[in-house]
Amino acid sequence: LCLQVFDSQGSDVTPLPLVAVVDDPDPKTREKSSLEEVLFKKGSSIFKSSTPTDVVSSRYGDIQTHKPINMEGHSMFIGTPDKIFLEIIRFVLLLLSEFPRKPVAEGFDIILSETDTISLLDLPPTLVSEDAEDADAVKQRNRDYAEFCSSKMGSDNFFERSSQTLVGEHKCKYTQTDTNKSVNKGTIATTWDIYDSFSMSTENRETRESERVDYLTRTRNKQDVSEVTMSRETGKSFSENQAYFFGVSSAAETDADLFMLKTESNLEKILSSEAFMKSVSIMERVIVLNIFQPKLAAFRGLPNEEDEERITEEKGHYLTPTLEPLWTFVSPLTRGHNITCMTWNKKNPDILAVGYVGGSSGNPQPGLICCWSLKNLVWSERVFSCHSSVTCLEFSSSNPSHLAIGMYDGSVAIYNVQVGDDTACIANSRDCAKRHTQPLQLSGEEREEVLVSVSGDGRITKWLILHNDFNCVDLMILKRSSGQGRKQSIGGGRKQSIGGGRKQSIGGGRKQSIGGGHMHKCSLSNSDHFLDTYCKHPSPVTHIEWSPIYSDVFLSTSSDGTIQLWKVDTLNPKMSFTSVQSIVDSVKWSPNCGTVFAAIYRHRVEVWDLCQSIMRPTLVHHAEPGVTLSSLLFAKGSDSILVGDSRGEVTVYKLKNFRVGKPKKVNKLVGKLATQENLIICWISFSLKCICKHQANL
Amino acid sequence: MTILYFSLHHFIIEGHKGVIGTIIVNSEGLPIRTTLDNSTTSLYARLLRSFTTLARSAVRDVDPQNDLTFVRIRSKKQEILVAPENNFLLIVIQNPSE
Repeated sequence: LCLQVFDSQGSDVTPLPLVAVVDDPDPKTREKSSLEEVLFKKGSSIFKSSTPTDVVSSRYGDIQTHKPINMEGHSMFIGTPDKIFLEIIRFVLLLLSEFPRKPVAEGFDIILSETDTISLLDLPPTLVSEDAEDADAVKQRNRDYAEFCSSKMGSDNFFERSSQTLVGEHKCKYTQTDTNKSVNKGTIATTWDIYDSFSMSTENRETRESERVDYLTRTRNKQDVSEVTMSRETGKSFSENQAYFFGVSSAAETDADLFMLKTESNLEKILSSEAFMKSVSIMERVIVLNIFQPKLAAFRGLPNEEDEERITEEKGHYLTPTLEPLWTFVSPLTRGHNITCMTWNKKNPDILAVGYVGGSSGNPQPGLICCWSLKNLVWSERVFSCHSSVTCLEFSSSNPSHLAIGMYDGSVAIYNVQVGDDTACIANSRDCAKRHTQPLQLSGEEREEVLVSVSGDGRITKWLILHNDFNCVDLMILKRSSGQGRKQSIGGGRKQSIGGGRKQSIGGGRKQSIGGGHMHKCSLSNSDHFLDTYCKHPSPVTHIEWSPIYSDVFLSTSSDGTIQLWKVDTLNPKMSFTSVQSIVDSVKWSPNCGTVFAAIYRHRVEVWDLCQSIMRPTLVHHAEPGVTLSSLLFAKGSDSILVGDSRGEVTVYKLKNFRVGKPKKVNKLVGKLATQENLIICWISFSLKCICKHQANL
Repeated sequence: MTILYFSLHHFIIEGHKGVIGTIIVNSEGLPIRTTLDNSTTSLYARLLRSFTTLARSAVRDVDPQNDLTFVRIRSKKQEILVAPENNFLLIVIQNPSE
């Protein structure tokens, strides 16, 4: 059926057959090129109807066909390049498959033919005769359509696009990837963190971070992965001991199974570390302070809550002064050792040094020195063992940590109490050539720190430390008075130099077995003879004590049971105090009040207040039966007395209801001026008041 | 010839009057030695560790050269004493008025 279609201009737009008949000797190559062009070019040019001739001739010139392709003017050429391609390929493969059967180089004909055209869409045109009524309308429509088609080309409203009518099936494809892990890491830049980072060098910082177990820099963020990885890196092995594994303690460490712990060795390492010991000792002190807090408050004179209630109730009543026991310094090491001497540290008044006699008296056995601190009332801070019983000890003023002790066998040693172990003994006169043969008393001088000891063999010696040597220089030898017996132990006292006075005196006492006890005043500057001799006591003098407030006054005690009060320039005692016929071991002035002193008898303690009475002691305290009191010490700044006994215990007593009212006047008078006239006046006034025994003795 | 007497302070602490319990916590916050039961121990360890860190942070914020040495929390019924160190924490709970 041959049709001829003319457009409005009358040009021939008859659709030509798509495939032209062309003889070509080499069909395949041409075919391939045309196939490629078909495949890879965008299909727009194929479907242009404006140049059908060119398309046909260039694309399909090689293919013989017997059937023309219908082509309509106003409909798009619909054909799929895929379809044609498939058909062509099929032909090629068919041909190729026939090749191996004919290896002979013969010419053969390849006839390619096309299959039937599969018509996808067939819209036959409606033919309208030119003479019909609506021929004009149809023509107009044709014209409009042609205009529309031509305007579509360069118009922006339209664009060429291929479309596929057959939509393939959707296929789900699954992929699997690792989850993206997110890690939160944060830090708090505190002031100290910045300071720490600055104060460390970079190498230290890296090594520190890798093994950081520090509390300081550990952040509190949750899911701190760096923390977890660090614990992994330390390579600790898992412990089977579940008893120590108490479970997780905070939200930041929720991954319990990640923690590899070796808890047993950890515990031992901590327990043996030095920091732990130090912490434990501090903790112990705190605990002890907590336990003894009311007692220590009473010691310091701080008001206690319970006491205040009682005081308000009993105001106005006169209560007998008593000694209220506060606590006891005792430890298992010191039990059973007699206490011979006690002294406070000069610099730190909370430290007390106590000297013990080793074993029972008589045989020189290893003695003991304990340093107690008020911060730990339960255990002594330092314990030193000496080769002989300790008779006296004294802290140094210029080196507050040096403690000088004198021992029963006549040797002198100096300990450094800051060191807690065996190397504390700085100097020991055990190897010294000159030695005392008798127990010593020590005294340390004020201005130039001189260690002077007085011993039973009558020598007063000054000790010097030269390099590693501990040597002594005899200052004076107390002459034996003729006809007297063997010397006994000597009591020594000391006197502090007054103002600018160069005179430094020592009161040396000498006891004799028979007859009266004498006391000698000696001077360091004048070592030839005694300056004065005080004779009063019929029996050996046990102790001499200078008053810490009145520099001219001293007390002496003897085994006759009397206490004599002397003034330096008077060879007769000013006053005498007697209460019981018992050996007075020691007497001490109170450092707080100038007229108070305490005396130790074998089984009682007496506290005298000269303002209240000079006839009898203000306070008497009896020791427990079977216990001998041996040592006495006042506490400066506190109304307390320390009493050492034969059981090895130092009991701290508080002077309760001990009102010392008047002596303030006396103190003012005497303390400020320190003139002798005033002193005499005071003492005279006392002596006028009372009927004293000493006058009778004199 | 000085004999050094070494007192095992740690065990003495537990024997003092009024001491309710002792806990040692290592650096990771796990109690490694205790005289109380498990639940109380872990409770104290967890709470006091964070408290001590906070206290130390406060002290060092004021002056970075300073450092915390001891923490005492006194309450109506008892007193909690904490000695913080770099690699452990020593906690003692005491009732001082017993």
